[in-house]
Amino acid sequence: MRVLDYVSVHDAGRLLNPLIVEGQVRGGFAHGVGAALFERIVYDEDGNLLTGTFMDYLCPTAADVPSLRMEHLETPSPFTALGAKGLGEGTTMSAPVAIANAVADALGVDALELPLTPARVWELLA
Amino acid sequence: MTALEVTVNGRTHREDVEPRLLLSDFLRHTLGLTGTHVGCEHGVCGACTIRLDGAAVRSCLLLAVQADGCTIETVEGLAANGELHPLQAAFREHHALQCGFCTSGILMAAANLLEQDGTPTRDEIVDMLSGHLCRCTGYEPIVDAIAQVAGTS
Repeated sequence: MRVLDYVSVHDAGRLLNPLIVEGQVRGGFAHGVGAALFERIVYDEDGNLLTGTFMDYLCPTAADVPSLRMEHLETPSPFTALGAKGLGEGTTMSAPVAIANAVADALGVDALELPLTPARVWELLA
Repeated sequence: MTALEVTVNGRTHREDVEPRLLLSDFLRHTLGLTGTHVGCEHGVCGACTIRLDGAAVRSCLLLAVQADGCTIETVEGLAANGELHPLQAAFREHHALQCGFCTSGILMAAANLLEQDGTPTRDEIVDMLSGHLCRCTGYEPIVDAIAQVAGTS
């Protein structure tokens, strides 16, 4: 499964440091891609953690994170002195949802579980 | 204890070490070079990457005694005469680090890549970078920074 295109738009109010803003969005996106496609905590039936190392728990690498298109809206907040809002790892929340919805739409299903591992996608296709 | 002689960033050190001591712990605890970071300690995350006799290696997968007689470069040796290494300057310009935990390992691997192949393509940079885990940047600014130094951006 490949993410062909991803567009992220946030309104973080006035951007005090665009480099930091874009860094947060890109980093959050990588986290979201990991949650959507790779990262899964597995326990056996006795409660032993089976994914306690990076050999078993997959984090996205440079080759796994798709490129990202980014846009900004700047509506200054009336509640803060400089008009800024928060943007800590913003895309972490939206990326899993967007990717899950894209897969659900493509396969015509309305319930799926993350992460979308190859085995799970295979089951959805069956 | 085993006698060990290594040259680190141009300076020769003679130390007696436990044979079981990891090279990463030798650098950090015996020599005090804490720029080399220790993440997973089983060779996956890449944070402890150093250069050993001109090759990028994971210092957590080596014993200190295996480096006897070797020449080591760590991130502390990158900047020269108070000037940032071009890679370090490019990382700052592109905001290619946030928490910085993965940065020293990536800088050493990137320096090694550029020395072996002065003009790596973007795909080759991504291929090299896929041996390093970064949780903050989403990788793209890191690729941009290395590609800029390589002149292939």
